Amino acid sequence: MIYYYGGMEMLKKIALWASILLLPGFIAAIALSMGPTDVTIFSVINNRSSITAAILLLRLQRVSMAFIVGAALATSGCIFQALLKNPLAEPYTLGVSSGAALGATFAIIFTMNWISAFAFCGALFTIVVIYVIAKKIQFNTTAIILAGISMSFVLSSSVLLLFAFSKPDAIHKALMWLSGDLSMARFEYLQLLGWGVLLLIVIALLFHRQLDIISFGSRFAAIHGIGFWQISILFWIASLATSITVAAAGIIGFIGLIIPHAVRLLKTEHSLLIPLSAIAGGTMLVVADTIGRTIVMPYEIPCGIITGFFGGIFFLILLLKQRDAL
Amino acid sequence: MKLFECTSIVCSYTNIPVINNISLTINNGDFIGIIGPNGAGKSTLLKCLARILAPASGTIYYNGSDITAIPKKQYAQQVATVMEIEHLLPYTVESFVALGRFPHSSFGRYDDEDISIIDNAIAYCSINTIKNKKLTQLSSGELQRVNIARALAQSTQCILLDEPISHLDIRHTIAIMDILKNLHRRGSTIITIIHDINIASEYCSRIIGLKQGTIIFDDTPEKCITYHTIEKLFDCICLVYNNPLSNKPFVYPVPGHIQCNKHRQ
Repeated sequence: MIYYYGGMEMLKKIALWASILLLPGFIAAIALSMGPTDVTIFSVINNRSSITAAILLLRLQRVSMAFIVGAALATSGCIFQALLKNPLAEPYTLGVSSGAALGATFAIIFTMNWISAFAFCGALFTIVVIYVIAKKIQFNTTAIILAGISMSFVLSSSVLLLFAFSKPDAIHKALMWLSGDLSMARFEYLQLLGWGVLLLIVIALLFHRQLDIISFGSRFAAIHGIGFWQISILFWIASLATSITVAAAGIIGFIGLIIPHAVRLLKTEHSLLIPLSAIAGGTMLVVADTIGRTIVMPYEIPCGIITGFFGGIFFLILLLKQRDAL
Repeated sequence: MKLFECTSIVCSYTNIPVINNISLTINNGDFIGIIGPNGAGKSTLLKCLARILAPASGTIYYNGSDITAIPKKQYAQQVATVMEIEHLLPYTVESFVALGRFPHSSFGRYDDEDISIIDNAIAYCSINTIKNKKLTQLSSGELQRVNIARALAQSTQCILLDEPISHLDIRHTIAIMDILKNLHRRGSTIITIIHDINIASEYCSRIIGLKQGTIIFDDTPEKCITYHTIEKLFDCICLVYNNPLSNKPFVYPVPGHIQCNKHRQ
């Protein structure tokens, strides 16, 4: 039922939503307790020591950052898969990551400062180029994807060209950033990032019915009166969400691809697909980051490697189990 | 009263003209069947009317206004289109039919009236029993009825349909055409592309024959479905009788009489 619910159905729905909302909180509490020092929420409440509180605050920032970045990437993936009518579309399909990578590599090699700002500018430049192309070809999805792939090749080659003229330590730092590393995240922008991502998700939710219609094809969208401006807004929401997260935390792959797919097995309508994907994406990145920072303590594995490795295996299992549903 | 007025429409794909200077008037309450050979420009004409394609030249007026001047959403409140769904997704039938109300909603929010219209559309097309099924689980006939219910939920004055009965067996064909006939009786204007001339003859009040982008004939079935017009339209020989039940023209194919040379021209 999509409009109204009976008593039992309402209870089931409340239970489902309660568990969906409680699970991330539970996982976040576990993530906060894990690390080289034995600090938990309870130890802070009991001790009231400033050191344990400071450690917990640092972890809280890290967990929050992971959740926000994961939520933004999953939402962006949902929107791109609908806009491009391609189940393989993800936030980085249009070359946003390559643009950000070029910006960040440039900053790491030449200035060692303003990495996020350069990454954001690189991502934004790519989006503007793709948007201009998309407008010219009237949002022909196949052509947009091909344009994105071409842009990715050009920008990736430029990154490799920069590597060819760089020192090994700069290359190592750039590679760590390219792997998606939350340890290099700028926590002073956490609040701004959080509000920004929340705003983009809310705007995307306002367009949930348009996303449903666009998913059925461009002709279907045209006969329901969906105009170019609505497609443009959705394109910019998804692109901006990707750009700001990639600037904050580097390139974290796979979240934007597998989370919308996995959630789509439960719900296809975007009114639920978007919030569920955001919650699942955020939770998954918290898990991946916690594994990354605790599995080989005191060293850290960039969470992009964890999401790619475990996410890929998880997705293969899902694919084999649900091959008819995907 | 004129609903559509097309003046000298030319439409082409990559400089190959598909519609050649067509002028056409469609009146309110017409039940039009567009027939013609493959590649005649039938779907292109329908896409122009549905505003999926813009003609290279010429103007289409809807209720006296140039359709390009009407906001897209407002146009979708007045003209619904039923076409093959490009990407079939596992939405429930009910959710899919509900998408038809989108042009009437603000920010996709539906009120009680919208919900009642959606329920009525589902009931009208007799798809109550399958409303919780996924689109991907439906047969061709069921899917076509669901697609028509979605168009009905749009509550429009006019419905355009692109081959609504292709791939359907005779039972489902009759079911779909009966729905359209009832809608026509209720005052809707129906414009449909049909490959089955006999079904077009039986149900439509007006038949338009299209060949190589030009109109060959445009009249009532009784006047335009004759031995000569069918031969001219399809380059093949057919016998035309009158259906003893309805007295409408009935075309009977004659095997082995395709005019190959003419067809190649």
